[in-house]
Amino acid sequence: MKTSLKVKIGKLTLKNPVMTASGTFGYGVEFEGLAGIKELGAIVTKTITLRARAGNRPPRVIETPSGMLNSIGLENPGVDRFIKDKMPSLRRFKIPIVASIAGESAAEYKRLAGKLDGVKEIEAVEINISCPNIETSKLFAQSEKSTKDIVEAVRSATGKTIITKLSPNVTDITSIARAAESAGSHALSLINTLTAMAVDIEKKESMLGNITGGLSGPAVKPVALAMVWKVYNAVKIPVIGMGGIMDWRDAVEFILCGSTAVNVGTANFVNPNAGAEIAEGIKKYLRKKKIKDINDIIGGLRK
Amino acid sequence: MPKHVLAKIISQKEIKKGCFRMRVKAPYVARTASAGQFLHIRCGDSTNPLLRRPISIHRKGADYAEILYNVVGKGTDILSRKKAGDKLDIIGPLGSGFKVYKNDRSIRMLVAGGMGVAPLLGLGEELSRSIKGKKRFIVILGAKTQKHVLCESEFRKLGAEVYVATEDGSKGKKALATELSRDIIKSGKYKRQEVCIYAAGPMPMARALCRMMQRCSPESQISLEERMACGLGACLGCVIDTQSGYKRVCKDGPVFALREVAFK
Repeated sequence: MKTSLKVKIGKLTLKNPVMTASGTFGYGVEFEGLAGIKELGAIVTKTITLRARAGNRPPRVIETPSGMLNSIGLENPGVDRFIKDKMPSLRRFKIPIVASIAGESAAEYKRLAGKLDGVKEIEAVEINISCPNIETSKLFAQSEKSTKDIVEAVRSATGKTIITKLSPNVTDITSIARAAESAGSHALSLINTLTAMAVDIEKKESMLGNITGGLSGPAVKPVALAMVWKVYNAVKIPVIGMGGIMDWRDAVEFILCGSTAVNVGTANFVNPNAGAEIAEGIKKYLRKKKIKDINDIIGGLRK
Repeated sequence: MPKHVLAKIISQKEIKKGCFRMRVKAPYVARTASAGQFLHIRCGDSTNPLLRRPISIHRKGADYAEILYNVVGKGTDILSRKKAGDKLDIIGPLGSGFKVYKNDRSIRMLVAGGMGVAPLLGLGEELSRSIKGKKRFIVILGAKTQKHVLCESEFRKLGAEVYVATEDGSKGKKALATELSRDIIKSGKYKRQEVCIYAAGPMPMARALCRMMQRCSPESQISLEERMACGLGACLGCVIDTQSGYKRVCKDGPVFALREVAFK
């Protein structure tokens, strides 16, 4: 029996639904030799900003029960050096590249999207409006209007597929999801990390230099599943689900809750080859269940 | 290029209370690693603890590598319960290790604070092999008490001149490793500029050393620690501040030029 894992996200076709989550796979090259990179559906790059960013004060990571906090703060070399220094190695993998971008205003997002529009191998942009580790007190992803303005600005600057990455740190994620959809986003990805803390009681200080960070890993999976399910039922565009996916079973849960594709993040730190293994596991699951096309089970949760 | 392997544990021994030396069969690591590099170890098989633990390569032989570690938390506790014959999930060798400059005129001074001794013994073995003639190297072992002094006899066997400093004075000089090394340099026995430091230890020691030893040989190096996630240079979680901005302990380090490290 032939089993198809092919999925479509806007104009982007993925040979399988497994992508790396932004910020957890660097620019791919760091994982060379340890990860089956060519077996992935796509790589989502570490978030790129207009100018280089130094990132937050260390310590930047701390482990918590079945999870981890990070407060990296979007350290990156800036878009020009990304294109010059990071794209050559990304190109070699010959799989779709999704560029994650973040700006301080709609105009900055627009300029970033414009600069990346000319890079052929970048097949989609993911608009990161939900990083919890930046200076602003309010995330763009916490406002319907900001979300809409930014998606529209990016749309005006690029013909590439647009994915909007949503934050779980909101009162109603479906209203933000609908705002992004109505502004022309081709897909939604969720969830970004949950704002979180850990405290050193001996020193009476936060374990993170930035005081707060973002929680990821298995601890957030149940929260992420519920948000994916809600958003899937609220919009018509594809949903890319993520949050604590460690193995193919977790990935199938997300697919059943409405994810057309999934992102593997924290798992890359535990097993660099997690993405490729998850893609293989999903395939075996489909075969075992005699399902010919993965699209037949997306959102297939029995009600 | 690091490899991800399931290595068979050859032996594990508690050499001091709470301090374990484990030997794993790892021909690739043995062949390619340099002193100061580390292994990224998955201690358990559940999600708690979740992340790998970076542990320095202690020593290596023809087809094995050793680690030396203290039980400090859940991960290392699980690690300490493993037995010969069990498999260990390791990625390595990782990071940038110590650089040994051959045929220079410097006096090599290895300064170990507590568990910092782990990578320095491997370095000592490398030095004793690569340095020809009568060039000595000096080892300063700092520990809490006499009971915590590690690897003294191993260093002596390598022909090193060993000094011990304990915090309570129960063995050697009552001092910190940094203080003892400063005193030795100040005694005038060696020219400061010719002393090449190779240090490893906890952060407070690193800070003190950087303040005290800036005028030593520019080739002086220090191995630093920070909590890590990927261990591969991708997540940027383990950075430390240096003279040229944030650097990744896992990839740019863990060994840095002493002059490069900036503490504020």
